[in-house]
Amino acid sequence: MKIANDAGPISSRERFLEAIVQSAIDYAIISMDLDGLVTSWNEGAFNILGWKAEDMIGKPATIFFTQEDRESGIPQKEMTAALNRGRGSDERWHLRADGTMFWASGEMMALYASDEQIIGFIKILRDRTQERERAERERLLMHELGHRMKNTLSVVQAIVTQSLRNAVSLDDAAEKLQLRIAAYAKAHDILLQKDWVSATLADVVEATKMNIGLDGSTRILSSGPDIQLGPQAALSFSMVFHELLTNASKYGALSNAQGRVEVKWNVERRDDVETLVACWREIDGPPIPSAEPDRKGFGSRLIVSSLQAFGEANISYRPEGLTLLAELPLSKIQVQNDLSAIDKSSP
Amino acid sequence: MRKVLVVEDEVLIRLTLVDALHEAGFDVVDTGSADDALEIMNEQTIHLLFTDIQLPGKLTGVDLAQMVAERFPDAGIIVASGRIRPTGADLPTGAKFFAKPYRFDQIIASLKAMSRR
Repeated sequence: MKIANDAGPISSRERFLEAIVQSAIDYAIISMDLDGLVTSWNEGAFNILGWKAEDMIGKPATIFFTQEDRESGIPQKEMTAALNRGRGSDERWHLRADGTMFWASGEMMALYASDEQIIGFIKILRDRTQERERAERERLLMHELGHRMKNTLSVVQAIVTQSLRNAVSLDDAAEKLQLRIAAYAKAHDILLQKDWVSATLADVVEATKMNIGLDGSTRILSSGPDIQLGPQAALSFSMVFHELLTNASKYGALSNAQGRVEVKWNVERRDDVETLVACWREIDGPPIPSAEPDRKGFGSRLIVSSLQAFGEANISYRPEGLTLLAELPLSKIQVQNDLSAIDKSSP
Repeated sequence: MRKVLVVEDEVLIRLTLVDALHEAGFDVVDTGSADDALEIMNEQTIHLLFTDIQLPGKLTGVDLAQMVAERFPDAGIIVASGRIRPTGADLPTGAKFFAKPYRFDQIIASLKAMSRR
């Protein structure tokens, strides 16, 4: 450790104390005289602040304070607190030799000689930048989770309201309610497996099939390349496929013995935009008696409105079966949200 | 009939509110984005606005509320959010805020009260 005016023989006790100070490499330990000029500068101070001891001895310790703090007289206030109360602790931004800033937690104490006279100050500080950033990420995460929870409760509230409104009996309401909430929960499961960043379209289709006991069914043929969906699109698609599958099972192609459903998707360029083109087609189901029989039903409105939030979507009710065609720009279905941005910023 | 513009990007919530408003006798137009809402405002007279604050695109529901208040000074306005609680100064005079999850019947009652003003 470099000490100003270092002269004379060093006792073994002084060497021992110096070794302790030098070993504290995660702590900057800096002593100053009563004018605030540096009198010693340990290895930790070099590690954290970047200036070498020989460059700092005799220089004002104010150098690692920000210009704003220097202009506000913060270094002098710290020394005054140390003189008046024996010590003063502080957390604030400091400067490194390369000009970068770090968040420091430090303490300034009066330095006493053997005759109890105050001969200067000692400042001990730690770099707490990572802890501060972690705390900020946690704060943002909690805020976002709170928002997400309230939004999810609002969606569940809407599911309950709609399921009760459109039910023919209490049992029908209970079934619709449970399956819709389960479909929504399954979409959350898939997203959580990928840190709430994305889910593939194929995963969403499979999870929806599983939710109503149609996993492994050979009557539902799905095919298409891997398409990543952002969180909002994954949640929307889950509800869309749930309504389509439920409707097909009760009234459409899966309600008789020979009908089947084809779900195909691909990426095509539409007006120079990469676009997901997806088609749901019901084949060999009971003939649909009239065009657009259920266009105003909640399920149909939910399907079309959910998809139209991302692009174009149309349902046609041909006699041979229901067909849904959607053309959705990838840039819209792959939008990330605040929560995934927080996750990505984690070290 | 009083016309309500509903702006909410969560489709399930929007459809449910739209159904409740229809049942209460309102004429309803709805959309999931502020940009679409601006187009609707340019083509139709809006008497009442219900908008979420977080919306896709650059404009927020608060921005939209200010625009509606400027264009239709007598319009009743409700903004809602699960994330942000705006201060009174952020909202147009007379606008009400509801935190999510809100009760649909309270939204209807507030819009009815606003439409009687």
